[in-house]
Amino acid sequence: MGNYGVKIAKETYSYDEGDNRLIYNSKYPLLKMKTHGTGTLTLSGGVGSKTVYTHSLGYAPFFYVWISYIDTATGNEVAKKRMCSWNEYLGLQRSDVYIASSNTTTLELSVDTSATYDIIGGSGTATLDYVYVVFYDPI
Amino acid sequence: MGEWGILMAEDYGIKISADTVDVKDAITEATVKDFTILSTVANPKVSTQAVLTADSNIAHGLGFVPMWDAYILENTATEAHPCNGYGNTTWHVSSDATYLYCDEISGTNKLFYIIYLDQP
Repeated sequence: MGNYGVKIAKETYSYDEGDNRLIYNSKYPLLKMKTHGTGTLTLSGGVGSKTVYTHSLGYAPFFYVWISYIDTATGNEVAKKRMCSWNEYLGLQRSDVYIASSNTTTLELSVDTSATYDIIGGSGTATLDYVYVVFYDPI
Repeated sequence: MGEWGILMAEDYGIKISADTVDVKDAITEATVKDFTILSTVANPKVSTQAVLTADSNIAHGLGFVPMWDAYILENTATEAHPCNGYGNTTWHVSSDATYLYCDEISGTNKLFYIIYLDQP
């Protein structure tokens, strides 16, 4: 393979001082955004899940999902968004969990906040807002 | 071995293929990943990034809930842990259309964040 391509160096560095000093090197792939969007997930009994996005890539793509969450003290939705997947540990081996995953055809979102509602009571009915990005790049 | 290289597409733009991939291969849903850059596909662009040593609400100025990522740095910044409630920790970072809320910093850790310019 010939030594050709595109290199763009950071200011004050030369193009040949190492790949980690480059703004861009065509040898290395950039993340390529396929799609993005927003949506809502309805919780019943503190639990909900849905297919966020369906694709035809044939492999599990790289992705991000951020979602609003349930305040473990009040049971109310907090509008600020946290990045999935994550959990809120409540002690006694109980956690609220917010899980996003991709597979060869879909991006899935699953939330279980039943631990909070088991502790503080309430119906566990809520509607969470989420934001997502899917890339062409495989995991 | 494919014909690796850089090609100005016949219609417009730039396509650069990965090593071993023929730059003249057709671009399809399944082959986009085989190109290191396509000027028809957006790449995440970093708006700002920094290491924090104290709790801060970062005003990102974007006007929408941005793409972001964050890590807690422990053991004199030799370990990086995603801020996602790792194990039984309570490390969480959150965002809205105005701020990235970073309030998990103690006297023994730091926090790295990166906010992207692209609107999800």
